[in-house]
Amino acid sequence: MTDLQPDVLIIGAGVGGGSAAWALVQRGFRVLIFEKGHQPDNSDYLLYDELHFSEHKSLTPPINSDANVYHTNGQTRMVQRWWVNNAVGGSSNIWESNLIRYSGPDFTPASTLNDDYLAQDMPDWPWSYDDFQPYYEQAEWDWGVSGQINQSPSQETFRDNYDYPMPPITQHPGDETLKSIFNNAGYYPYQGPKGINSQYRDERPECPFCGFCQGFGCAVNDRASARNTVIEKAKATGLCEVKTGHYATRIHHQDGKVQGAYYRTTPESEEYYQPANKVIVATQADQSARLFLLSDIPDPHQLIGHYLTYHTKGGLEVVFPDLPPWSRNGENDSQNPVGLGTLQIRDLYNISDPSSSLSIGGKFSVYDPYTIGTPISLVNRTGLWGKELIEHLQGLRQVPGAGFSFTGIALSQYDNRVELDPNVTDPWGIPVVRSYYQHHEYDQQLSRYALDTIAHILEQGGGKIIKKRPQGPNNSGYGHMHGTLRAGHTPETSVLDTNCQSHAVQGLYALDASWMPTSGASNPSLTIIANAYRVCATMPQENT
Amino acid sequence: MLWTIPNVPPSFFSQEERMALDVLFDAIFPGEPEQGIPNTNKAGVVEFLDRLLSCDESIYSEIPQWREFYRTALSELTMHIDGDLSDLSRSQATEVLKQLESNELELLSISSLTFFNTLRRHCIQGCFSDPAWGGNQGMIMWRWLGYRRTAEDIYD
Repeated sequence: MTDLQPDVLIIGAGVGGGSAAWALVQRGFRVLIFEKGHQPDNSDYLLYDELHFSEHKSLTPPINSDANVYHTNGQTRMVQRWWVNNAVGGSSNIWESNLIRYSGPDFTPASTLNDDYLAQDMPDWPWSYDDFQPYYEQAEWDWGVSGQINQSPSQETFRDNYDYPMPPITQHPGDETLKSIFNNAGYYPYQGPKGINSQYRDERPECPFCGFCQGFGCAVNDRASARNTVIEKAKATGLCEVKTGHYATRIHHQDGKVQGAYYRTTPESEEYYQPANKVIVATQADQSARLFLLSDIPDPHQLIGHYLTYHTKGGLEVVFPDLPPWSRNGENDSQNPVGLGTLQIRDLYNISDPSSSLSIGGKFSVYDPYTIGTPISLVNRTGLWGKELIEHLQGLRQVPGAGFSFTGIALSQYDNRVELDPNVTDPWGIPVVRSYYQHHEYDQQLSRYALDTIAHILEQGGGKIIKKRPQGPNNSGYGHMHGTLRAGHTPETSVLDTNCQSHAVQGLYALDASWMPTSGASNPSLTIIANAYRVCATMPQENT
Repeated sequence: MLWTIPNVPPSFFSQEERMALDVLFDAIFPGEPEQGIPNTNKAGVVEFLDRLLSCDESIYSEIPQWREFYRTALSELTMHIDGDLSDLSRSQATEVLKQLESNELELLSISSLTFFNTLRRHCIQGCFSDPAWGGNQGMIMWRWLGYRRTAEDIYD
């Protein structure tokens, strides 16, 4: 394969690139993937050592040499990219694998907002949910998503007679208590879909609940990543080759058509050239926009890098002083139970409260921060020290708790953007990303509203809120990033067309989340996968 | 490739520096063994930090910076209080830490808040990391907190 020119060159062996490769090889395309990083082994993720993997962030780019720059309030600061893993599989090597569909207002934000002023920069998507549904189903079966439809009236919509390939993973012992507290308030939490095996499937084992999940690699290999699903399958066909240590530095284009890409293999190496009739960029929204800028992709309407969105967040922690610690079967085990945060609360996805102007909302993931969270992080994020810290931890030792993490719509704004930094370069001498980002007042109001609503329900149910952190104006970066290369019908308002192909350079595509016209309000990964499948299902064989 | 926790003997801090850190860490996490709350001395938090700073930057990139930082910070703090840090009582050490946190106590070349934050972070790491790193000896902090087990009172 090395001697033949590939049909498609894919830059980035992550979720988008891996999914595109798998879809294309099934149609007989020859695919070459360039990955800047290395090929990991599952044993890379042992030992279970929080200090090394989490505190020292060993799987992510070092702040000393490979950071982003965040510009805010007239100042810049370096930002450690904790959400990035430069290796085959990308961030999906360290994600939590929440694989949730976009639906409803995610596809029709302008219509849902019902406010011409706010809707200006929030276009309805040029596709419908129905356009994506078959690809969501393929994604769920290809990647191995464990879940169950019809648990809750607030769940996403599914086709009748459809279900996930596996039932949800074992419920956390606290889930029944939490569900009943919320049911009493007319809310219906349900076990959310995760790319985590609840049984042996696809030659990968069932999750043993080691407690080292989000932010850690999965040594047991029960959790799906681009590496152990689509890329492995694509390589097995013989039509897909992955070249690690290949850092694409510039896309070559001429007369409005893509020609190939320049790349380097070490920080000191010369530049090499790989010709290709089609190039798919999928290196995450900030990095893909960076590559477009480095490549001088024509941008007559100054859109490249703009309309960056990071999901609105918010968090709260609650304890239940009158309840015994969570334990299985009502026994007080000597081994505290371990469980993942599987509960989702989606009742605030659409907000129709006459006392609030909010319309598009978001959803919560629920975690047990105490028995399954790793301890250094738990203690550190209290922010306390001295007697106060001891008293706080004493309080936690005997009671059960839960953490609620909000993901919500972030309004798209032109000035939220990435550019090439004028001063700072990475180890290869390439300008890093400089980001500008402020959350809209809508985002901040939404976060407060959602947290207050959930807090009230928990208090009614006997909970005591010990931490509440709504979204503030600043955001230096987050794993849920989208926009920067928005797709749409016309070059005046979009960088890519509705097949995620550049309006300006034929044969050039972006299939991470950079094409998303708006952020949506759920974890974006399943939509990245479904879209890659959708686009690659009809990608023309010749350069037409 | 499997990650293994380095087994490097502590060789960075002087005895004086270790005693000073012992007092500071004790005030950040004031254990009470008589009440079943382990303290940082028993948990080996100073041992943890001394071993960590005896590793090279291949273990973690900021280690060389921390070596210089701690040496300078401890020396400037000692000069500022005009006495030995190891002679401070717990409440005196608490007061010093409060003043570092609020920047009321200014050091010559080190940011007080950065010093405070680094001490706090390393203290928590020394308490709650894997015992193979030298702290959390005998898993006493995990056992007290109830990490993956029923919380236990740890008397001396």
